[in-house]
This record gives sequence, C-alpha cells and structure tokens, in this order.
Amino acid sequence: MNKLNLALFIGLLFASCISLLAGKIWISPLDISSNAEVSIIYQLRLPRTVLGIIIGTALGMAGAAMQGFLRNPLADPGLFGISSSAALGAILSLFLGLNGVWILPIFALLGAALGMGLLTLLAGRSGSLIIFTLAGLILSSLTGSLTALLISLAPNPFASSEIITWLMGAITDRSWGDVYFTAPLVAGGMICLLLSAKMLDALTLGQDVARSMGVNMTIVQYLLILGIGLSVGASVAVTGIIGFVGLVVPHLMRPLTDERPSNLLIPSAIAGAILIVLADSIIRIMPMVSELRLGIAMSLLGAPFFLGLLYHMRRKLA
Amino acid sequence: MNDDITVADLSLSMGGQKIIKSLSTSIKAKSITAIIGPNGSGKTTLLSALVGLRKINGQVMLGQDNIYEMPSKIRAQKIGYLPQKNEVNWNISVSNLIGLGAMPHRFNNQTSGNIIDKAMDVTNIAHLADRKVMDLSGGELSRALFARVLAGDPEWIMLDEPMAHLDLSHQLGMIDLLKSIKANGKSIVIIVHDLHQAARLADNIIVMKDGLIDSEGPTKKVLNLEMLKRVFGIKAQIINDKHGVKIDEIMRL
Repeated sequence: MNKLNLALFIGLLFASCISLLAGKIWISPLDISSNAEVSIIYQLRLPRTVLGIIIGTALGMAGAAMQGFLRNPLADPGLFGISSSAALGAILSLFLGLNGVWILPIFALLGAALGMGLLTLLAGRSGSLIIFTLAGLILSSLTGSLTALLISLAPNPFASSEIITWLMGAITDRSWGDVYFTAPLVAGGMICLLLSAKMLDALTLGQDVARSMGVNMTIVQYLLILGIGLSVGASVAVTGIIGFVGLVVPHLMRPLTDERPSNLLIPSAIAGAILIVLADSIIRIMPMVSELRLGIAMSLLGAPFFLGLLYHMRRKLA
Repeated sequence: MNDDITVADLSLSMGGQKIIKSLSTSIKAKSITAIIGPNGSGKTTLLSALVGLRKINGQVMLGQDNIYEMPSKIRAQKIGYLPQKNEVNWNISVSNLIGLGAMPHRFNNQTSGNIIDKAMDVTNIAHLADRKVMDLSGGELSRALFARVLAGDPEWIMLDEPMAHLDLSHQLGMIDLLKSIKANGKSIVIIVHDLHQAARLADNIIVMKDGLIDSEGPTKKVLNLEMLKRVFGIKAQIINDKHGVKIDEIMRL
C-alpha cells in the first residue's frame, strides 16, 4: 500500500470513529457502558457508518473509472444514466404502492439492470466514446422524464412526497440488512472496475493507440457498464441518488497521484468513503428539526466546489 | 521465413466515401518503407489499416497471419503504432508514459525498467524521465511518444509523420535513429511529407494518390521527375549521387 492510500485509510478510520460517536446523543469513547449506548452504536450507527463507507467507495471508484474511460476530468457516473434507471425502478415500486422490506431495492436493481442492458444495446460494439456518451445521455434523459411522469401521476400526495423524499438520497435509519444487500454487489462492481484499470491507463494515449496496444474497446465498455451498474446501481437501491461524490472526489485526488487512471481508483474509493461518512456525521449533529438529506447536503457542497474550480481556472488562464 | 506484410485487394470507406480503393502491395520486412503522397491521398488511412485499426475489405497479412484475425495482444506485440496526433490525456510523467508501451508484454519490473531506460536513451530524453508530459515542448513530447513505441519492442514500427514537431537537428537525429533501428532487424513503415527526408531515409517508397498506389519500389526508381509532376504537380531537379537521391530547385507547376 502506498503512502497516499495509507494516509487516506487512517483518515477513514478517524471519520468512522467520529461517525460512531457523533449524533443527537454524543457518546464518549472512554465511557461506553450503558446498554443503550452499546445498542445505539451497534444497531444504529455502525450499520449506518458501514453503509456510508460502502456507498462512498462505490461512488468514488465509479467516478474515477468513468473519468478515465471518457478521459474527461469532469465526467460523472450519473452520465451513464444507470443511477437514474435504478431510481426509476425504485420510484415505480413507490408509485405502485408495493410494500415489503426488499421490494424497493429489488425494483431499483432491476431498473439498474435494465439500464445496463439498454446502454449496452445503444452503445453497440463500436467502443466509440461519443456514441457511448450519447447512449448514456439518451438513457438518463429518458429515465429522468419517466421519473417526472411518475411523480406527476402519483395516485396520492403521500406517494408523490414519498417519491420526492426518496430521490434525495440518505443513509438515515439503515440496518445491517441494507449492508448485507449492498456489500456483495458493490464488491462485484469494484472488481470489474479494477480489472479495467490497465486498459484505462492505455486509453490515456487515445483510443487508436490503446487499440494498437491490444486493448479491446468492447471489453472495456462491458467492464465499465457492469462495474458502474453494479456498484452505483446497488448504492442507489439502498440510499437514493447521492450526486457530486463521483465527480469531485477523483478530481480532488488526481493531483495527489501520478495521474495514471489505474492509480486513481483506490484513493478515490477511500476518499469517497471519507466524504460520505463525514458529511453524514455533520448532518446528524446539525441543529435542525428534521435531518438534512445527505443527497441535498452533497449537492449544496457542489456549488462552492465548482466556484472554487472556476476561480482557479480563470486565474490560470488569465 | 517470410515476414513481409502483404496487402491484397484492400478497400476501405469512411462516411460513405471510398478512401482506399482496391489496393494491393507488399512491404518488405527489415527495411524502411516510406508512404508519400499529397494531402488526402489516403496515407494515414492506409497506415492505420496496416496496424489493424480499421474496418476493411480485403486482406492484410503479416507473414502467414491475417492481421485482422490475430489476437489483439499478439498483434500489439508485433506492431507498434505512432499516430500523427500527439495525444496524452492525463498529466503523467515521461517514464510512466513510456512504460505504457510495454503493456502488450508481461515483462517483470526489471525487464520493463531496462526497456524503458533503453528507449529513453536512444531517443535522447533520459533527462526528461521525471518531467510531466504537459511541461514538455512539442518536440520533446514527440520523442517521448516515439520512445513509448520502442518500449513495446515490436517487430514492425508504423509511424505517421513522426518528425512533424521536430527541429532540423532532431529530424536528422531521428533519421539516423530509424536507420539504426532498421539495422537491428526491425521493419519500419513511415508516412513522410518532406520528400528530402523520404529520400534520405527510405529503402522503398509507396506513392499514394486518390486512394490508390500511383507507383512503388526502390527509392531511387520511384522518386523521379514524372512522378513529382504527376502526383504532386511540381517541377524539380533530382540529384542522384553516391549519397542517394536529393531533390532540389522545387517549383510549383
């Protein structure tokens, strides 16, 4: 493990400790005695923290892979349209008023799978980045408009408010069940992304050179669709849409690495986890009547980040 | 064993337009073949078809093997390709850039380290090893990208105008380098715009015009007054001495 990954890992340990201790009820690490405190940590905060780590890792690595594949430092896994497909699936279950513990995430996964299939069909075998991006745009605008349609047709105000709240992702009140559901899927997705790492490196030199070096663009495309589909799809299924992480984390990590796409995957994964876990802890201790949704908090962070980026770029160009 | 590249009845369309029209030729191994011709005559398309990157009709054979049916890893080990455009998307270091070239092989760290060092030595960029690519000049980047091709240790080296960004001294250096690479048993196909360079460098020349081969053969034979007039529309004096062919007093017709 190199120095950067080690430092990030230690950072993640700290963030996780904060996440376990912070909240409406602060728990002192020196004095975890009462049964109530033990069960707050074990039943509520630990699954929430672990889920935050899983989601953050998934989104961070998906973003890094996506930027490497499209060779664009501002690409976001949302461009694939897979997260919006998953969201559409989830919303369909709310719209139909289907109840049951696993109905919503399973619908979301089916949505993600359908999105992956459609994306593969649309993008075809050419491996062309422009066609791929266009296919992703078609998918995300289609699913986005269908989502809006479902909201507007919602049978009753409760359903529509439930849908809207769900869309603004959160990891509040999640249980170990959610962790067991997401972890294997995200792990599978991340393995696919890691398998593409060397090919993403070759893509640094452009598509033709990468192909001349033995990279099969169709295989890279499949690995990316499967990898992002599984990791982002599973994340959306249990948390709703949490934007910004996949775009910003790789962007922040890149200057700390040697800029080879393969060396950006792991740091982005760990840093994504830190960001989610910390942001979720801060949300919990903010003095508000009802908790701020994580998805909203992340988008709120987005604007100043891009402002900073814009300022930096303008100074560089001046 | 015959390692020549044989092209049979190659044709290729892009955007509904025929770029290459039923072209057949053979390119000798262990020699330098220059592809020349006016802009838009199909040189770059032909070269990328030889590398195995285009959808083609017809056949491109390397020895006994069809380039379009080889496993892509094997093809990548045999053929190195340097496109015309200097494209590097991320600001990686020069040594990492060159290291990418070794990708088709499964070298261990020691071997790949040696190959990278050697590639940097011969292209004269060892002093740039730790620099980031975006801090390089155009000519330095060209040489680093060429070193990337060498790091793959291919039998065939396909180059699309590698000297476009080089100053005169580095152009001459490149010509010497290519000749010494050939002397070590490699085969080189190179697109050249400058006919002086083609004359200095190439054993054989393929002249492209309108997606067809106008003429081909040994440099001395192909570079002649009629060809210059027919293909390029220029009038020139050709000096043929013991150093090879030189072209002088070029005028547009």
